[in-house]
Amino acid sequence: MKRLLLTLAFPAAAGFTPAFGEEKINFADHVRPILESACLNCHNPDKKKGGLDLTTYVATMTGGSSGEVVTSGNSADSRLHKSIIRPADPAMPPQGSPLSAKEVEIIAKWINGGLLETATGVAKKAKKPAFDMQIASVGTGKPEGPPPMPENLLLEPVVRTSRASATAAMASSPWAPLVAISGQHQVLLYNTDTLELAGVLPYKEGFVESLNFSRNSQLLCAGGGRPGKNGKVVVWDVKSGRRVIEVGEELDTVLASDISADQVYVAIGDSSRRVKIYNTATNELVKDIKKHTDWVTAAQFSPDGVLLASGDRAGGLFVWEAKSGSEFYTLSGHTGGITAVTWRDDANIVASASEDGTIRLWEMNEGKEVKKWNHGGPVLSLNFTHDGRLVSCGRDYKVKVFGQDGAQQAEAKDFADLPQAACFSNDGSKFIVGDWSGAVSVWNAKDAKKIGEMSAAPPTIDERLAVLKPEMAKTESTMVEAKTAMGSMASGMAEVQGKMDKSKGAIMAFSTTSAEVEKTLAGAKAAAAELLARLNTPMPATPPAPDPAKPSMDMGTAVALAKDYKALVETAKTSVGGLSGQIGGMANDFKAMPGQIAGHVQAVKSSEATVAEMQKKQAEAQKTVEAAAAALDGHKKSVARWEAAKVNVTIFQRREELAKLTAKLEEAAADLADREKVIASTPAALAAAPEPEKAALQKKLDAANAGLAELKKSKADLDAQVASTKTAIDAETAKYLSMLPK
Amino acid sequence: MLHTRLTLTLGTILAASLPAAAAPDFAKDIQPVLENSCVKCHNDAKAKGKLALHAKDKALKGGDTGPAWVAGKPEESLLIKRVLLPETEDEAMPPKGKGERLNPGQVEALKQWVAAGAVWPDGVVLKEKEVRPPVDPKDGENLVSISVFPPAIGLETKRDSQNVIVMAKYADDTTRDVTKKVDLTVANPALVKQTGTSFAPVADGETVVKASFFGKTAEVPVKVASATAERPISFRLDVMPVFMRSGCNTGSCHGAARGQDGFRISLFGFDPAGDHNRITREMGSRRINLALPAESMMVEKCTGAVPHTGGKIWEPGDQYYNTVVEWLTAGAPNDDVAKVAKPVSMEVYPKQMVLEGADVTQQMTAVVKYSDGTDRDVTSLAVFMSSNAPTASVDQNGLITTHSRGEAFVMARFATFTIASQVIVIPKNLQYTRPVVAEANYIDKLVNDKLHKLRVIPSGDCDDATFLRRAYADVVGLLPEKADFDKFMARTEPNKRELLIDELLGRKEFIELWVMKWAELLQIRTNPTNQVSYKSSLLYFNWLQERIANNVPMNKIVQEILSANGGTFSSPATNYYQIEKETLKLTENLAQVFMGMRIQCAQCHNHPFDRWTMDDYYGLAAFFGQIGRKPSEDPRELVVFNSGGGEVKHLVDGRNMKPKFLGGAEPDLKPGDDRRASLAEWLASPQNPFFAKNLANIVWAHFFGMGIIDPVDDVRVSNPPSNPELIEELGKKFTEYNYDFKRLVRDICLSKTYQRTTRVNDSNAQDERNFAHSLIRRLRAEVMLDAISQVTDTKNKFQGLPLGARAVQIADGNVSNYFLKTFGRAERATVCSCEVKMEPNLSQALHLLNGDTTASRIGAGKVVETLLKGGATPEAVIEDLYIRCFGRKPSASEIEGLAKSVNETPDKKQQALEDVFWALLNSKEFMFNH
Repeated sequence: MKRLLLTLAFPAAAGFTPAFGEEKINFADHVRPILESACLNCHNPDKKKGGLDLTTYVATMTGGSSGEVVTSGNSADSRLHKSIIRPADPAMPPQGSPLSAKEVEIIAKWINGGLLETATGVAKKAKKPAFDMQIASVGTGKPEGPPPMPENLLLEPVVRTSRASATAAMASSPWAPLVAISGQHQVLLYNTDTLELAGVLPYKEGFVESLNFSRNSQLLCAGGGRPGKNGKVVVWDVKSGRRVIEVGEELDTVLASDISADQVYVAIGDSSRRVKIYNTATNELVKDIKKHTDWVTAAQFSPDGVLLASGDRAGGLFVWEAKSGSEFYTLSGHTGGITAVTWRDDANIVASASEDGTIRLWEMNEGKEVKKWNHGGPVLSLNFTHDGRLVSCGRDYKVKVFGQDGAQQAEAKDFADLPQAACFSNDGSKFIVGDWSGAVSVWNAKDAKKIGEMSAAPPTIDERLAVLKPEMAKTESTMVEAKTAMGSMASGMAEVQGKMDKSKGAIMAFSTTSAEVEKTLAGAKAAAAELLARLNTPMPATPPAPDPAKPSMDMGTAVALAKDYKALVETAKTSVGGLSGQIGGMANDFKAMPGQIAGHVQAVKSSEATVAEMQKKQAEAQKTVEAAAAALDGHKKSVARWEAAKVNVTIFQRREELAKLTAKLEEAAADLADREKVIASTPAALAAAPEPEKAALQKKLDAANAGLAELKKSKADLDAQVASTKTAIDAETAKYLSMLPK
Repeated sequence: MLHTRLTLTLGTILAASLPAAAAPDFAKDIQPVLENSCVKCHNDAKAKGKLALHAKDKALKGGDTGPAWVAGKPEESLLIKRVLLPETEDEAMPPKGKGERLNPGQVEALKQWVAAGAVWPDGVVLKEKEVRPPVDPKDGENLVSISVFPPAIGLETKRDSQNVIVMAKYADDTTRDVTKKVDLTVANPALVKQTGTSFAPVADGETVVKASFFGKTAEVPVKVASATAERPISFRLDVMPVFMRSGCNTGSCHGAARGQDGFRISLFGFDPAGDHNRITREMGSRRINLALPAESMMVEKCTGAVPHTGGKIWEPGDQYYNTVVEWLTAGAPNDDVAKVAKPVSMEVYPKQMVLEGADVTQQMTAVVKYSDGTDRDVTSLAVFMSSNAPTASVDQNGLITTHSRGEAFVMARFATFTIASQVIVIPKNLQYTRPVVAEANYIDKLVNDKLHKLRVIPSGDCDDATFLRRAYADVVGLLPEKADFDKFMARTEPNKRELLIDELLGRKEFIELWVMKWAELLQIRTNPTNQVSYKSSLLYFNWLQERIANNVPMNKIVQEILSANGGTFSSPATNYYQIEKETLKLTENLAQVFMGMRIQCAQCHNHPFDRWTMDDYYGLAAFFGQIGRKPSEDPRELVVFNSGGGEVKHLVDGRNMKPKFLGGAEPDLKPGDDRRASLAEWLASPQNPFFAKNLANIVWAHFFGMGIIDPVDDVRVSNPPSNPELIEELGKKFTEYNYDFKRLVRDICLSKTYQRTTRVNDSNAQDERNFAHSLIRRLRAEVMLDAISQVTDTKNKFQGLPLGARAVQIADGNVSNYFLKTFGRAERATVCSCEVKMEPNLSQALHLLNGDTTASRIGAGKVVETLLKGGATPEAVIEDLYIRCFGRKPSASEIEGLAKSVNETPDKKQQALEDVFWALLNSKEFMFNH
């Protein structure tokens, strides 16, 4: 078969060689997607209409009840082809629209091209896990060492939407402050302490409907897909954000999934009514449990990894042995669809939640119901804490924390819409709720007070930067303003100080002046008094005439004397009057002086207050400056962090490119090796071969040689590309690390 | 690949050579090409492949595969690439069958235009070029008038628009859809924007749309209100109709009791609140995605993006897709039930059309009025069905196409309404002139009018002998005796048929026949499970007989029954409430018997083919919510009284229902009032539009073997009357006659329509529903047994009745015999008209051939023996037997042949004649009324 494929494939490649650009029509890449949308609804391993399963290459080759459905190289003779062209009997698909001309052509080409399974004709290898994840011993307690937190994960959302959609799934890391929330084509990781985005895990397969952390917190297991079309479980390493497991080729979105504690098994439940258990090391389906009668809506492995509980939409609830897949207990009692199962840490109790409104606890010694209570409405989600409390939410639009005894401990309400998922933070101190509108909120588990929110539709890095940068600019300007304020405050203070000094000087001057004035006044007063005294001394009496005959003086002299005296008196009077006026004026001045002094004192006092005020303001401004500086530092760090995150986005893109290139390279290398083997061995065989076989061998050799140079060249090109991509990644990683704020 | 390369080269060369040529002018060279070939599918409303080409920004935004062009680069422009693809390619534009390919000159112009930078003058919006058919002068010949539908246009909010239809009427009563041919204009274009035949609001105000065609004009008023207001998308008004139109909520899909693949919505949308919850919140995020609405499973299933058993039902970008995605984008809001408008009525236009020839089309339009006074064109949301697709089929967009001659009813269903329009298809170029037919009364006129529309010529009168036998069998349930025959045949008055009818109406057998019919509808029979004793059923029967015999009007009788109180012995009408004790069953029976409606469907969901909703059903049931029943002293008697308490609850939300007349008002009832009395008064009154018509139809069906609505107890929009005017008139007359059905019977029996022969002509051979000829009907079981007894001179004995009583007189539905059972006598177990079985079957034939009913009675009755003893010749005996059995004299050849074989065995004359008798009794002519 393989050889046939090779010979068939090579001439085509030789004719027109777009190196590895033009893909050959093959099952995996071209045919299966067509079958997926048109045929697999009926021709799947669960329904197998007409005994035919078209989900895998092998099954398609096997055919159905009436034999093979494809004949290599002959589409006209292949039932698969005959039934999809019109008119046909039976015409497929029996309902809905027929396949388009293009689709029919692809299938014809595929059949005529020799039924390639993949582009290289080589069967796809099952994806090997990137590293061995099996854990030797499973402990149910806290693992040693620091709990794993995401490091340098992608922070750019894969899809940015203006609105979030209903929170389909949510899970909390058992040992790290980390919660995973389903988003659009992605899972979002948030730090439950800081409420900050810690990582984005792309899930381009569709939408995640189920989330669970591994028991040791290392891995995150997500189930989902495109409803009605396909389903897959992806497991990421929480620390590095790398995909480590991809299992399941389901035909509808995975509704329930979990990874076992020893990380050996992944369980999947979906609308096929099956519980499928895959081995993570081989990606093989190891158990297919057909007991459920309706969609499997909940599944969880026990913390010790021994058991698996699963519930369905009809209320069926079972416990299986994880390893053998055999039935352990049937837990009957629920009358409505099971919406959640959750295990207590010790694996002795499993709790179930149902649309029938009840929460039930089941013990694992005998499989008996040990406790049952009503949430208050149909229950949509249920989760245990390490200490055995439970958080549930339901169609009563409430989230409630219960003890294992069913006693309600806290209740949160007033959600924007129907709460759909609720879980505790790792330490049980908070609970996180996602509602139908997509709002995710964080609550204190004790008093049910809201703490904060996380976005299920986070902004892009550019959007964050677009918000951060103006903020930073604002902080900067605040700081400048505060600094300016400090400066103006200092000069203002100086001015006030000057005024105060002047007033003080004035006060001093006044006191000097007042002493002088007092002195002068006293002198003036004394002079005035003396003058007055003198004035009051009576004029000397005219001496008695010693002789009347003989006047003592002549009359003339006497008269003159009298005249002088009178003048003197007049002058004295005037002097006293002047002095009195002077004294009065001085006294007035003296009276005004205390008022003036008081004014100055007042001025000094107020100035002192102003200064104090200013000093306070200055201190405040100082503080503002300091705060702004700190904020600026924070902003700068944030900006740096997000700028770095942008670089990280390119690193992730490059890694994807690298993966693609590597795959191509491997393909080319394998092809080359095959050809070289042919080229090396054929000439000898050709020499030895009998004549009739020679032509065939020669043809084979020619085919191997055809386009060999191009192949080599493209391999070399790929080699170079891989190397350059690796270098680019290294360079960008270095850049990224250097950009990260210290 | 080769092709791509070729295109590339061409493009390159062209691009290189372009500067030389002058750039094409948009208005002159480009706009006509786009308007002719592209905009029809690539516009705001349709946007195939999500591409719209009517505006520059839209074109550059592009569709699924990218922008329409890259300015300056024709070789990279999808527009150019697609028009260059060979026709066979899927992606070639215009698609095969959707329009003509562009000619090289057009392609060249497009290329140069793109190369020159694709200049599109600002603000220019392209419109689909109307392709108007050439004027056909024949359309003007014999044109009588044109009408525009709908008769009034209301345009409210930006979202609204209304398409109009213009129908031309011709002198011969045929109609044609001339919408695309007429000149349509808006008087004030400032208020209304016209796109082809569609009108959208621009500014508030009132104006008219005018149509003119070959000199005939018509106009309809247009009222624009809130022209610029936005109307937010509504779950009930916009989204749910999409489910109905797309068939999502039918019984075979998600409307099934268990839904499909785990998803259920209510059948035909009877539970909007539940549907909203199931779609949005039942499965959290599975069905819808508010963040990425187009990736919702519900949307992806419908567009076929993911496997869907129901197939692909929407095209991305089509109206239905857009409505649902817009709703999801808005957050999938529910309506405020108190505020959201409710549809209150629907009209479908045209209401009646007479189309000539096959493959003629007529577009329908459906308009719904809402409780807020607005109306909406719901043609694209209604579901169209035809009652008779071989005559006229209708596609999902309401386009009727004619096929073979006949009549069809095209129905449109929207919300809880189903409205039908009548389509008559007549052959093209039919040689027909309306015959002049004698008309005895209004019945003939209305029947003949309808026949004229169908271009059907009625059969002529039957002969006197046939009329005599037909009238006897129908009016009194007997065959004419020889004396009756001789007397009637000898009469010479021109109105002897009228005289005969009057005579028959006066006989007690007439009463007995109708008592029997009512006893069937009232299910009079003993019933151990409901403790209906023989005594009470006999009393009930006698009561009925007494009422009918005394000519009590039917409405009074019905009112007495429905409001009856007291003991089943002392007040026999109360038996109505003993025979059926279940409230819901009573409701259903009431509707079926007195209104001819089967409303059973509406118990669990809105009626799929009629207007009845669950609210209507439970509102009617509420009248029976307060019936009290208690035992009497006699254990066989039950006392029925008004208990004054008790409520009937709605199945979906459990609310108490207020009594509401079916299709009528809510009566003003005080606690303790007898609800049944109020119901009785309304039911049998002219306020009830169904009562009189229904009873008239029951009477009609008795005389024609076919109701105007048939079956008579299946009145629904989707089973319309074959002659609406006739049933309307009969109902009116019945009311006028004060519900005296004897007078109605007289009208019917005197009509020429009743007296037609069963012989058909070419034009009416296929017709059974329009009374163009009489139908051959088997005698019903009781009448046949009585007839056999009558002609053989034997007597019957039935339980509880004296020897010689007639089967028609049996009071108890449970009393029967093998003959009656075989011939399909009603068991009275249900009220269904189908209880009386008229279909012939093998056991009936075998019983007549071999059973004791014929052979032994011939012996026991000694008819032949007596006649022979009386000295009659074999010929005379044969004639007597013919008159007895067939109501006619034997033909010469009959008598000759029979007499010959009788005379061959002279010693066994009696036996031979008795064999003749036996043969006559086994003949079709005896068993059938013709």
